[in-house]
Amino acid sequence: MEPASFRDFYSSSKDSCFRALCVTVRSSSEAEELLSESFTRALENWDVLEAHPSKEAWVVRTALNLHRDRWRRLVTFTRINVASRKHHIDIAEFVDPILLEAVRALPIKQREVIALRVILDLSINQTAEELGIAPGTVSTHLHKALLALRGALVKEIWMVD
Amino acid sequence: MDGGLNMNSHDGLTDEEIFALSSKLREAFDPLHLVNHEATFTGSRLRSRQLTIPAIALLVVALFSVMFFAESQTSPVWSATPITVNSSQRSAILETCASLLSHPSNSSTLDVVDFRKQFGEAVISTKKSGLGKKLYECDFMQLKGGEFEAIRLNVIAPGKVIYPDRISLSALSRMKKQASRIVIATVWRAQGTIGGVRIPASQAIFGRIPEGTASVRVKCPDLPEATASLVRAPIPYFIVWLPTESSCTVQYLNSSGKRI
Repeated sequence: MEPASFRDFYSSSKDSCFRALCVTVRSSSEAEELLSESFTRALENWDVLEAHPSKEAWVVRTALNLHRDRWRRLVTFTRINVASRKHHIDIAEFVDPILLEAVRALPIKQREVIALRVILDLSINQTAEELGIAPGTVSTHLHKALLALRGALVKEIWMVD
Repeated sequence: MDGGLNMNSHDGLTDEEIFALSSKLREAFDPLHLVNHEATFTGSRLRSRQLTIPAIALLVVALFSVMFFAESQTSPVWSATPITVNSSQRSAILETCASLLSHPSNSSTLDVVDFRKQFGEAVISTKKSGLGKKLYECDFMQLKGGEFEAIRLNVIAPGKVIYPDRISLSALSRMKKQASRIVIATVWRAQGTIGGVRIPASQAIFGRIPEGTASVRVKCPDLPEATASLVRAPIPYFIVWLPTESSCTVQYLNSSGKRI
């Protein structure tokens, strides 16, 4: 049985972590699988992780590390191919397809920065620490990413406003 | 979000624009929810993993056991046919045994003193030596093509091994397919290696020799018994090449020839 504190953490952070991963990886099924695995690892390490100042970042960071693991990714894809037949979230139903396509066209580092800096709302320094890069590099990646997304976001702004 | 993005308009976006675009980007993804995870999450995954790890470990151990057993059971086909040695073959045996000498002698300086057993083992001696006459015990095998291959060579005093085997690595490597008798080879440096050269485990069964062992004897059904003397201690391991589908027993003997 999971500790109550973990259940609370899971309930409050699963969606934001999921969004962050949906920005980073290319399918919602893969994001779900990675998230499941990273939350599982969080639960395994909960004794230590409970005191972590940025648990969401830890979960996403773990998922991104898993994502980078080629072998893991192949296994994940295998699982996804089976799992996705049962349930699959079509992100395009929730997020503007043009924006989604533009996000997915970004380089992986830029997507990771958006995931942590924008979606998880981490500070520049936290983002830099989690990604193992300099704070200035975070700013640069974010700037370039938003510049590339500006067209799609302007459309989004226009539609929302 | 905190500020301090430190971007200027000439880079394309102002700080305000970055803030606004970031907010819009976050809002754009807000509708996305993890809808089907409550039921499948982690508790069950973790529990199944905790169950799975020992199961996998057990499976791996079982798999290796089966593989090892299978390897030992699919060793080469052996022939127990005794070797009949004529004069020309005797010369060939001498030559091949001489090849194992530390300082190879011309085979003409060697002579077969005795074929201690009907086949497979010869006692040879140097005819001339400034250091005195030496006796060698030479294990050999006959290959399918009729040629001989020396397996090991011991320097012996009459009836006693003085120092242990020198082993022909090339012979050992060929034995899997071509040997026609049981061979026991002592391993000096580590399990699975002879003289630092690794011997594939599939060719042999390795065993640790108990303390006090002077010789190892291997008995297999329908095959002549094979014994290897182990004089220089410590020699903790030995290798036995076994025939196919044989249920062989390994005995450890002390210096009195009694089983340990």
